[in-house]
Amino acid sequence: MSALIDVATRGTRSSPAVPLTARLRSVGVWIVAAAAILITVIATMLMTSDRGSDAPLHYDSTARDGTKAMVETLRDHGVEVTTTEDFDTAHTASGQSDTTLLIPTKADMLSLGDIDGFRSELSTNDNRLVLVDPGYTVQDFTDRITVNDSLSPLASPETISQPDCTVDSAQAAGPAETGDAEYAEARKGTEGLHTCYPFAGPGVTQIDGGEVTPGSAHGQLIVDESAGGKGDFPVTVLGNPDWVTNAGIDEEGHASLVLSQLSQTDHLVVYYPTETGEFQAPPSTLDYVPSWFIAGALWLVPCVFILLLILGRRFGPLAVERLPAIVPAVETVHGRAALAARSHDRTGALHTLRTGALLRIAKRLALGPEAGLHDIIVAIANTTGRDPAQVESVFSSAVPCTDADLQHIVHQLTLIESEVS
Amino acid sequence: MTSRLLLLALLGLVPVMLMPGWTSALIVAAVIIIVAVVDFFLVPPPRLVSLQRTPGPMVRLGDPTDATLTVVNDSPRRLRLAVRDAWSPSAGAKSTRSRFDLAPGEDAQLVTQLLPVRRGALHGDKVTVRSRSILGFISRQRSFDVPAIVRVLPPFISRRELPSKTQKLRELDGRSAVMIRGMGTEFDSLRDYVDGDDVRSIDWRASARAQDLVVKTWRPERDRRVVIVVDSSRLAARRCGDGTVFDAALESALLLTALASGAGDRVDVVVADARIRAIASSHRSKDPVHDLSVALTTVHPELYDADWEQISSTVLATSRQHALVVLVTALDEGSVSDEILPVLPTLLARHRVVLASVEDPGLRELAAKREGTDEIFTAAAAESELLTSKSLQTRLRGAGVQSVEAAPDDLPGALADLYINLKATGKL
Repeated sequence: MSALIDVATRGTRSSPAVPLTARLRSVGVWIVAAAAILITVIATMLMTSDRGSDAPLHYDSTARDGTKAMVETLRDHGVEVTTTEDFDTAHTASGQSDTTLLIPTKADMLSLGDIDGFRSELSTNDNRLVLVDPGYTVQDFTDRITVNDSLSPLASPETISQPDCTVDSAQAAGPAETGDAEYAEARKGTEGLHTCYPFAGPGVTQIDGGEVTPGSAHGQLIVDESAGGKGDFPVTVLGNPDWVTNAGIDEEGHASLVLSQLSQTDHLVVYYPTETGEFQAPPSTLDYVPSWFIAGALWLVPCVFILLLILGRRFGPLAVERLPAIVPAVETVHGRAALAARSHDRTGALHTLRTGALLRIAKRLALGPEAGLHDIIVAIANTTGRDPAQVESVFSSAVPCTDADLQHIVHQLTLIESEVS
Repeated sequence: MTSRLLLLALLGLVPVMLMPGWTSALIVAAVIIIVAVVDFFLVPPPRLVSLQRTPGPMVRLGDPTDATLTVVNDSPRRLRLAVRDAWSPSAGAKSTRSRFDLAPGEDAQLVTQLLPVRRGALHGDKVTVRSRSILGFISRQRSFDVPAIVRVLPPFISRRELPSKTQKLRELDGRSAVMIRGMGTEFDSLRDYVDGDDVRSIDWRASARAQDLVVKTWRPERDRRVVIVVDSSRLAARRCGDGTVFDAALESALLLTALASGAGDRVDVVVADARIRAIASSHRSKDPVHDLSVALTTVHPELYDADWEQISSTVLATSRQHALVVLVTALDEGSVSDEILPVLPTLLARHRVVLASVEDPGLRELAAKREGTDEIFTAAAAESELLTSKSLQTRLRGAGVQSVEAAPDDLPGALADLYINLKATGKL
């Protein structure tokens, strides 16, 4: 018998040939995971490179305050536009011949050295410089133009300004929206300097006390063609940034004005200054830790990774247990008891307990099956010496109206039953 | 990956800390990765090994057994292996892991000690082989199905009652006639008269021949038939005491088989629920208890209702002559009144029927606890179960079926006593 079973159940290793489909299925998970990761990475890269900056007046920004529309329009018109955030690139590009350098914003972030670099490059080839609302930084580029600080504080300029000058492109462009700032010649009566779109309206007067002498030429567009001053290159100041933004360029005569100013040369360099981050951070505690210690600590990261891989590798799958079905037995009893308790079926419960007790007592007192309830009660009273009326009440007549009643009767019942035995 | 690779990586701390910087760290990392990749290709693949499992002898529950795993290196390469011989948790394997260093053609044996905690056919789980090279930085592992089954027989705890019951049965032998003389006794032998023998059992004809007083002796009838039906339906899957109701039923069947086959009766055992699960017979069997244990080993209760019509026809087909039919089932109101009582007349027409059932010891405990209101309701529910089974016993007695109900541990003995009683009164 045992030999028979021995042969029947001895097993050898089953064939190692795993079906191709099963193998593909197990490999498939990894392939899908790798593909998902790859797609995510590519999508992230594409999205980050495509999205461009959304900084104000940025040449790649398609937001309302971006300038991508202007840059693209210029490109469509045959202007070779170079856009950069890098100073060195802008510096080199601005040295080409027949070039306009546009600094649309944040000119104040440039250091004096940077500005000197630009000036020398621009003056070498007599290139043009266009600034958009540069503020007082304009004085670092040229000493012929400054911010008009002689404007009366009570002035409320009209929202649309008229060209009011002899510059052809401004006259062709017509009226433009009024901005917040106005520029003026640094010295009254400077030669070769044209001012357009001056503030006009109630209360617009020049007062004394500022740097600008009252009566100087002023306006939101200043074209200095004379190539005089600090550098010898033409400078144009666009006083209102709204003229070049995606939202504002198609209003009034902005497009005509801006495009004519920027398309006078074949090349346009748009330089968007950014923070170079060259400022020195305050020394942190990390700087006082020796570098070999940091290197060792960082090296422990892959070590811990290897340790986790070793500890996490399971020696084969979990062993399977095929358990037989087992039903908890007294669960039905508890369920039935809970049902009876919820419906307050005290009479039914008491009846069951009485019946059980009477049957046991009848058996113990050797009463036959023909004995009735009354006979058993009399026998109990005789055996225990209790009052037959009380025994009758406990075993038959008493009705439990409350839970306390029920407990009392059941305790009496149990007591009498124990006395009989 | 092994702990050696971790050691190598930790050794890498020395150059990294001596020369801090990205370059040195990258060089050390590259060296470690190259070593790991080279080692990966040096590792012999685990599939080169041949495996064979030989299960040990079948045992009764509670006894230890073992299983032998033979690992053979069929490949021309040296194999350094770690092997896990996994068994299902109920097989009670003590230590399942070991290491081998096998030269080409060499084999080794791993004996896994098992102490099963459950009856039945216990399956060996997968064998996992982890292989590494002489460098030992990387290990490759794979799991293989190596089928093997260890059979664990029912414990038969109640065999300790067997000697006393057999003794009781033997006392019936050789008694003088009047004490037990009845339908179930047959003439055994003649012996000399001793003081105290009943004068009515003196065989006068033999005494005349022998010139001395000779008495006839009697013994219980032999070669009767006993059919034990064990119900393996959902009612047998109830947890009761330490095991299930079915375990207690198996114990009872085993003890009765041992007792009755020892007394010269033929025992057939039918295990059935919605279908017939197992049939065993002591006929032409040298060791009926063992054969029955083997037949019952793989049977576990299933969550079906028993098909009593099929069971009764199986019983009728098993024994054409008069037999004692023992139904080991539950005293459940639904199954008894709707299923068993309708088929009883056909059984009773030819056989004597006895019903044995397991009483849940938890019920009496619940019925005795009567402190709070909730406990009183629980006690009432338990009491109602007890009353139901009592009334079912009365109904069965009315139908001519004797029944015995006892706690799981007491049922085998109670059923054996019932059998001895029937034997003594010649009602088989």
